[in-house]
Amino acid sequence: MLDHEMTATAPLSFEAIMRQTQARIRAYIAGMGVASSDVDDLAQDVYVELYRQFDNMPPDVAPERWLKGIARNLCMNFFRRTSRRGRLHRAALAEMLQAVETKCSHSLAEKPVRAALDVCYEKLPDNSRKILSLRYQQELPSAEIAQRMNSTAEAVRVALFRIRAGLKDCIANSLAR
Amino acid sequence: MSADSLIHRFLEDRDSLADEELLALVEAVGTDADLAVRLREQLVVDDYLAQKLSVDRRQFEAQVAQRIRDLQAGDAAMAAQVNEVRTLVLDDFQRRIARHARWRRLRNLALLATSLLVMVAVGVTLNQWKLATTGITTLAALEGEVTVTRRGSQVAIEPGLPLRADDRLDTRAGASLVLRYEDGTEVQLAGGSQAVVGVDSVTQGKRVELNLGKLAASIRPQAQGRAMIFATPQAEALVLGTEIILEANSEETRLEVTAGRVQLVRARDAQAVFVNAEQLGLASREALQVQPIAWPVHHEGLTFLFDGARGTTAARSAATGVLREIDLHPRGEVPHDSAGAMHFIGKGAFTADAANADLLAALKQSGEFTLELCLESSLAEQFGPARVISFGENEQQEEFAVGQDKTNWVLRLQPTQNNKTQENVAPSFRSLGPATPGVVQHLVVAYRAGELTAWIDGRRVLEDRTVQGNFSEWQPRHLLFGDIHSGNRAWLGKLAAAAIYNRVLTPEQIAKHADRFRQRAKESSK
Repeated sequence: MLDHEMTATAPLSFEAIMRQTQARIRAYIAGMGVASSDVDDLAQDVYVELYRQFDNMPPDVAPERWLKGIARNLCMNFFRRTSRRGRLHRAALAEMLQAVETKCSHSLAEKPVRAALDVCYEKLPDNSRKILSLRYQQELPSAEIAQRMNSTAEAVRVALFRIRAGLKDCIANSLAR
Repeated sequence: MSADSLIHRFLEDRDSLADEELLALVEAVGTDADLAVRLREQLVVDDYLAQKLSVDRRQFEAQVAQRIRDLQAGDAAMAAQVNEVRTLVLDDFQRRIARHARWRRLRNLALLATSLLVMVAVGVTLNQWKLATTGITTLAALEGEVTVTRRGSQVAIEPGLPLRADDRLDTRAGASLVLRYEDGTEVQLAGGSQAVVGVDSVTQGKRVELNLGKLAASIRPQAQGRAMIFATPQAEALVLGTEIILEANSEETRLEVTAGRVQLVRARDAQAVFVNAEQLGLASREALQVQPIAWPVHHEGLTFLFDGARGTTAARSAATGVLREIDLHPRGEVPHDSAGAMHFIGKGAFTADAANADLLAALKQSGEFTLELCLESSLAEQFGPARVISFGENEQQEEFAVGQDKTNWVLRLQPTQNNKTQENVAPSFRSLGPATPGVVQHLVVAYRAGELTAWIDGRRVLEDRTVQGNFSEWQPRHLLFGDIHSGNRAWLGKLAAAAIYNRVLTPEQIAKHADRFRQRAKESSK
């Protein structure tokens, strides 16, 4: 269901909104450069905040737009407050990445990506799926993946970059039909 | 390194880039919109892949549901407590009624109970009126610019002023005040702070809201169920009897417990942790955690503190007893290194004149002394002796000093004997142990009449039970780091931290400080 469809019918429950938006909101937070280990924590905060404000949510605002506003604020506060090294640079990077959201592929921001990703994933060659499995299922660093595949860490990182770029194009084409 | 390479590494691990690499990435992304778009798309697809393939990422909705249940449980617990009290009172009343068969006695009992309830209600109201109009605590001491605001108007203040519920206290930078309760509980409010005193509406226990700044408190044992509550924007600390240091700003609350045990409750979700003695509790929107207190662990008798890593210099006010922030003033060229340590390159020193009078008063009053230094010599052989720290005027008028003479750390200490001063006859320096250039060393000197000890890196290097005297005839001097006041005794090295106590730390406390400082040095070198 798209954003505008959400507001056209009867108001959705909190659970329904979460079910329909959580994947995109989590990816939205990741798109601001938040570390992988922190994305879901921040995303949980977003939905808890939505829960608190649920009765005050304006009826004419699409829930996902409201959620992205909350996510944006929480992310910027997170970067400003974190004691991690380079927090000012991270905050600046987050603002830049957030600013180009509208220029990114429309399908990644608005449409049901997960289903399209499942289809595109199955089309990948075995070698690519193996690298993705090592990276995302086993959570291995590039150096270790390189060792297992008799390659170099930089070559693995380049390969991952190309696989993701290919998946992005496949998803966009799939959702455009 | 190319922008592509930085992006590839950033995508693999957002924490993998050094500061300068992050800056380079920011500059590259900032000047190339296409690059920014590609990076964002990569980050988004990366997360979708992690959501699909990573086992840890599959329970998101269940985790949110649990957070909301916890939130609801926190609200429900509060309502349940109120209901429980109400139910207990009603049940008790109804049991009394059921025991009496005769209507007349029942009626008389009901009348009596009603009268008692009325009396209690009147008593509670009177008590609250009394709290509102008379004092719940007293402004025992103050120093510097302090204001008390009552119902929107400032009150004329002086030591001994009774404070009422909802009185707001503001201290400017460098100011301090002390509150004292009837039971002997004391709260010290540091400069740059804002607090409101009151009484908890549920338990009638003492309550202090620290909206901003720092306080230290010594809380006498409180009755069960009437913990003293310290509330900040992020959390509440419930204290039954202990010593704490509480610091709050708009983002984070820090609670140090020096004795006893305190429950720290985060305001936004009612999650709680126990903070035990020598532990630090941290509460913010993202975190609620407990960790060991970093150096210095012990604050009792702490009269002067320089902590380069935290950027803190403080001296305890003789008037209020509050450890207040002061400024160090450079004399000449004295940079700080990247870790905040004073870095002496032979061209200057730091003065701490704001501490002179309070330090002298504290040491004269107690007659005891512990000096703790975390220092690193830059040169194997130095002469003078070159002063690391000096409380004096010149070579002949110096109450105490630690320096480096050739390859050794040396101490000068001049206690007063038989109330006689020995002007212009300065005691000689005594050797403490080797100064190791390029290595951070932890050096402690402790003195009371009949006992002078020194420790390097937790190991005792000096014990002298023949030294006698107190500090009663010590004169106002200048506290300097890196030289003596009259000059020409410059030391080359770094001073990461310094602490002066007006009591003798125990060997166990000294060992703990050495260990904590060693841990901190190890962590900061990573």
